[in-house]
Amino acid sequence: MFRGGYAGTILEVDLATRKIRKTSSENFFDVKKFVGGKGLGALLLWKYLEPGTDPFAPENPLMFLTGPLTGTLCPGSRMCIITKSPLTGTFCDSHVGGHFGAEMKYAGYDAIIIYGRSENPVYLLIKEEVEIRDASDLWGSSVFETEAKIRSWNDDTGLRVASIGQAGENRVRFACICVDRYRQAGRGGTGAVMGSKNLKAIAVKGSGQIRLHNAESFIKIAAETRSALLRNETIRARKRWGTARTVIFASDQDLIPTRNFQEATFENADSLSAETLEKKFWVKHKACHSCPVNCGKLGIIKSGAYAGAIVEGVEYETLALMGTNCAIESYEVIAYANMLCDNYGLDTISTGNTIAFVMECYEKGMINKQDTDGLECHFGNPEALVKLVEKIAFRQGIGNEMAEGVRRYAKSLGEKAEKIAIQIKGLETPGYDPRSSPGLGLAYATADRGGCHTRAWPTSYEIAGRAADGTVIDRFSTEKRAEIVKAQQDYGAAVDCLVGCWFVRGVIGKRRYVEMLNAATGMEMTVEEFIPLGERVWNLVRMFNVREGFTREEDTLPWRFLNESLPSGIAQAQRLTRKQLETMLDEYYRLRGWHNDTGVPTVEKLKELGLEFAIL
Amino acid sequence: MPRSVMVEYKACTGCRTCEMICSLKNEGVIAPSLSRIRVYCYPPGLDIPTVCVQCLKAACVDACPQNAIMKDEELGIVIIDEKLCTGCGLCVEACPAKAIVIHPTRKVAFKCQLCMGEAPCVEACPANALSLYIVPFDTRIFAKSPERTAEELRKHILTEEA
Repeated sequence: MFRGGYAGTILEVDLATRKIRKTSSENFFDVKKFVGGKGLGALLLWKYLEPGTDPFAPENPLMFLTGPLTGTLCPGSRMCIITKSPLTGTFCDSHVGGHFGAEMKYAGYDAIIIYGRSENPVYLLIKEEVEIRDASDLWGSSVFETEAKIRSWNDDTGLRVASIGQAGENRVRFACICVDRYRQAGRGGTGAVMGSKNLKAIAVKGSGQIRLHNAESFIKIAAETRSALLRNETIRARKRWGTARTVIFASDQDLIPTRNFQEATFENADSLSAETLEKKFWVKHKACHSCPVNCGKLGIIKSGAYAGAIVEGVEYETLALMGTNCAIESYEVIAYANMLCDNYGLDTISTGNTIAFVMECYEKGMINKQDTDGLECHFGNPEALVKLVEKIAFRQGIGNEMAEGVRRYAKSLGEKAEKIAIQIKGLETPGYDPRSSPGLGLAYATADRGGCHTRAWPTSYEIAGRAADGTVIDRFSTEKRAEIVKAQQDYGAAVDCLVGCWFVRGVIGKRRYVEMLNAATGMEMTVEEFIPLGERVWNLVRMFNVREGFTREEDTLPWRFLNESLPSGIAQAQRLTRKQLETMLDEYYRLRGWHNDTGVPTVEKLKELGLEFAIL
Repeated sequence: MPRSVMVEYKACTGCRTCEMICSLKNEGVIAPSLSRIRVYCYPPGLDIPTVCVQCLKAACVDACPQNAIMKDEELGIVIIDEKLCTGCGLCVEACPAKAIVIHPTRKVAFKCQLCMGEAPCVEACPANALSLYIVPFDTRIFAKSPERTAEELRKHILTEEA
């Protein structure tokens, strides 16, 4: 039916029985209704997973999903990894750039779905054939070593590898899956699920092709999209400075988490700025497949204790969570800790957040030197940052508790500690403080995978003082936030089916996405059908979480955001009151067509979206 | 006038837009394995686009037992005559740059022939890493292996002194 865009085949691998099955994508799922990426993953997780299954049980599938635009000329086309999160117990889609997704499609696969658990460590080698290979000699290896060994064993530098480090093997609940050394499907603990399956890596090299329904038209729209991006001022800044540019902005705007979210502006932000990194650290721009933005920056530490360490980054989130949030002023220390995280396979957001939590507990006497294995865990201590990263990855001493994630660790310490654990549904909150951006509070509270900034980011509207329709809004009010958040979530979920990058989707816009989708596949989707696609996927994921027991009660924020005001900066004395949050939630559920008391989608809404099968 | 696609290696971001544009233009599909320009990636993230530099004195021309490869003096392009090519692969072995490949279905050698001067890869490169270079007659340019180029780039940018 579709003449292009898709690679054409879904690959299923059962690690327990070692059975490999290939099915035509069109026979596998309703392509027009769920498109790919997040849509396909949402459908499959709903269909396959019994409610209440332990995320580490063999029954929890681990899915690598591309979309119809992955591997094509569409700028910023990526892949996502979907599974039930061991950190939150929710649906989890973790997105990653690099080249693995494109290579998967050149090998012929729109998705790779892993079931079961292997008895011994294995890796998958996917070229013309699919092989399950012994990985006993890889177990215990870091990510960098794993990639190098697999390429060398198979004498192929062109292999693209998705792997876990020691953190994933040790089931650290926020272990990630790493691609091309420095790109991570970071959030939600997908790496721990991979480790629980005894799957060390997947290596892929594709010699196939992606056809296009209308190549001429596709090339034209892609070229037009590329130039639109390169003309855009924000994108041009990102091209030069990557996400690091956000440091100064976020500090000025009272957004950057500082000392475990006790403050939101950092006194030494300049030492972590993009200008500093550009001058002292970066040597080369790096891009994901097909992306003209090249927000990645390769850097080398040139002097001091960590001289010679090479890492791509440092991204804003890492500078915030492992930097300002731990009060670390040296970019070199953060870059080194970043490299360790990449090599062990740890999410820098959750890692930095959990370390900052330990530092606050330590300073406030909730834990002592005995608990920290002798480490002086004061804010700003570089040694504590680096050592704790290692302890988490190997689950040594206090690291064993921290590896459970900040929510579980705080619970073991008691109520006082739980109040300063900055997490939502168990996912450690990323690098923006919602007290100076109330809409972001709603976005965090309603994000499908917990504390996440990549489902909606209404902050730019709040700072500009205008909603998308031009209505004037007050920065610290709650008006129109539900509308903005819903619109961004729906659009985002639709783009996540393609699978498009967060950074370029605003400039690309739905018209270009639909045009590229149609030119690539011949699908004939209308622009009007695009947002309902996102809404369908958002509601299906919500139903998954509902089936797992999540309700309105869990759509909340950390105690600190609701009870402590920001001490300084332009949002001084601001906090998000519970009443403000509840007001936004009421409005949000009303707009969504969900029951106000439970947050469960109504039967009418599910029927309207063609989700009759998800009615409980 | 002799011409060739020249690469500014440090500028390449590894996005592989050139591979996609090339295979679309020449083969009608997106397939890096059918591209005339290939981006090799070496740890820890050095991207080395490799393409025929249209050597003044080309090893592939000398290696071909069928005389199927010739240097077009007027255009400055090394051209393969597919009708004469038997797909023996001696040119593939001879080229240090890995810039010639045997086509998986047509079973003949193929390489960059500059799209007879249009070079859409150059136009599409978002990093301005590619340029269509007019080679002065007295400049001797030779193909180089991507591994060697990567090693040079590594020394150039990824050492503490650099």
